Parts: sequence; structure tokens; C-alpha cells
Amino acid sequence: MIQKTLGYLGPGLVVRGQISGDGDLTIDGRLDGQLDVTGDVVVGERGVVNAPVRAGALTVSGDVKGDVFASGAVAVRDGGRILGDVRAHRVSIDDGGALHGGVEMDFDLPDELDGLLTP
Amino acid sequence: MNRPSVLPDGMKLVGDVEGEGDLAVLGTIEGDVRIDGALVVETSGVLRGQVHARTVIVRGVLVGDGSAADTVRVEPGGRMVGDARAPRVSIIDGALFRGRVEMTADASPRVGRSAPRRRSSPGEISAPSSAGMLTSPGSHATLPGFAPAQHGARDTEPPPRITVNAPPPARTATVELASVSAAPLASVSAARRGPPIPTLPALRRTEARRTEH
Repeated sequence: MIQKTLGYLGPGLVVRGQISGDGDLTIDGRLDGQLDVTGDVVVGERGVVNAPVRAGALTVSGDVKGDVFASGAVAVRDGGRILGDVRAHRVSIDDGGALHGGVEMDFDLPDELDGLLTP
Repeated sequence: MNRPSVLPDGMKLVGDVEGEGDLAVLGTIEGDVRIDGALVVETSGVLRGQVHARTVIVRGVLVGDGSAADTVRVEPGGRMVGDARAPRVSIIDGALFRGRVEMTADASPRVGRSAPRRRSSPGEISAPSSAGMLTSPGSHATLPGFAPAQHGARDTEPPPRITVNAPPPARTATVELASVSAAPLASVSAARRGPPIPTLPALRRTEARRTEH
């Protein structure tokens, strides 16, 4: 794969709008708007994201308010918080992390239960 | 300060950025940037919007006005379309620039500035001659980018001369320039590309005069 520069929003930086594209992004600042990237997103302890998030993977040690869609894993670390629905391949919530909203992971149930639970 | 913020190559930001710290743009920003640190538009970077920072450095593309508390610098390979406004503005040989250059404050002592000069020649201001006033600073500003090889006069041309233009807002001037310029060119220059077309003839005139002496 092509080597990418790491994206970084420093603390004290405020973005109002949409960030999209390829690559990884670490947010220690604040984003209000929309986030749609293919790479991995890390919301640091001081990071605040008020936006729907689409990402490859998402690690949250800060604050995310908005629905999350990740093709990979979503991890809520100690001190991290997600307010919104999370749809991802895998979701984990560490001790001390918080998630208020629905969680949807992709997985199959045993055949005999298939169809029972689908609404 | 802290680690600088980076918008990497391949990433696009549509919206406004503001706050503290430095920002390096390797991707694309469509929107305004207002920070208190250094803003660097790197070679792969494209920024369309008004920017303000302590220092603005353009190695890629900046379309929009750039103002800085300290320095605006367009480096070789950098392209800027818009007005540069700062105490120190430098357009390094090899940089491309279209727009006005306004050196705002205390950078050089000779910048006792346009206001007194204008008052001393009231006949000139009475006509809406700001378009005429504008062409000459524009030509100086474009000089390094457009005619770097023609003569080595850039160093002998003191930046303060560029400053003569300060007060009139760019917008009105651009409109005037567009209407003044030749008809077939008007449509092209209307799209905010106003300055260069009238400035080039002005530039040649200046050079011609200089060689006559």
C-alpha cells in the first residue's frame, strides 16, 4: 500500500465541516460536521467529534457524538464515550468506556436460530 | 507548541478550520482557515479559501486571500491566486502569484505609506483611479514569478514600493479592472483573475522606461 502521511488535528484546533478521503486521522481537537475516511480514526483523550463517523476503524478515548459506521473495529477505551449508534464489524468497550446507543456487529448465528431473530 | 496538525495527502476537508497551533496541508481544504500558528500548504496541498495565520507558507496551491500576523511567503513551485497581506510578504523567485501584495505594518521604516502620499496629490484621487493604482503594485508582485530571468532587478526593488496600494479593497478594484480590460479578455478576467492581464502591459511599460534611462 502507498505510504500515507498521518492526519492529525491538534488540541485547540476546531474544524467545522466535512473531512473525507483516504488515510488515517488522529483527532485531539474538535470536529463538528462529518467525518468520512477510509483509514483508521483515533479520537484522543482531548478529542471531541460531533459528527457522524465513517471510518475503517475507530478508537475512542475522547468524545464522539454521532452515529458510527466502521468497516473494521470500533474500540471505546477507558474514558472514551460514544453517543450514537455503532455499526461495525467488531465493537469493544473497555472498562471505563461508555457507549449510549445501539450496537450492530456482523456475524452469523447457528443455522437453527437463523431467521428467528431477524426482524 | 504541540505537534502540528496535518491534513494528509488524499484527504479533503470541506469547511472551516480555526483555533490554535500549526497546520500543514498536504491534502485539500475548501473553506477558511484561521489559526494562530503557522499554516503551511505543502507541495501536494490545495487550499481554496481565505486564510489567516501567524505565518502562511505556500508551497502548493492557495486560491484565496492570505493574511498573516507575521509573514506570507510563496515559495518556489508554490502558486497563489489572491491577495497577500502581512507585515512581511515574500514571493520567492520561482513562485507563481496573482493578486495584490499588501505589507501592512512596521516591517520597513519607509512604509510611511500610501495615505500621506495620496493626500499630497489630490488631483489623482479625485478620479476613481484605484484601478490604475492597483496595476503597478500588481506588476511588481507578479514580477518574480513571471519574468524571473529578464533582469536581476528584484533585489533592488524594495518591497515598500509594493505597499503603495494599501487602502482600496480588492473587490471593487477587481471589478474595475475587469471592465477596463479589453473586451475579449473581460470574461476571463471576471472570474477573479483580474489582475494579471492589465498588469503585464504595465510591467513592460515600466521596464521600457527603465531601459530608456
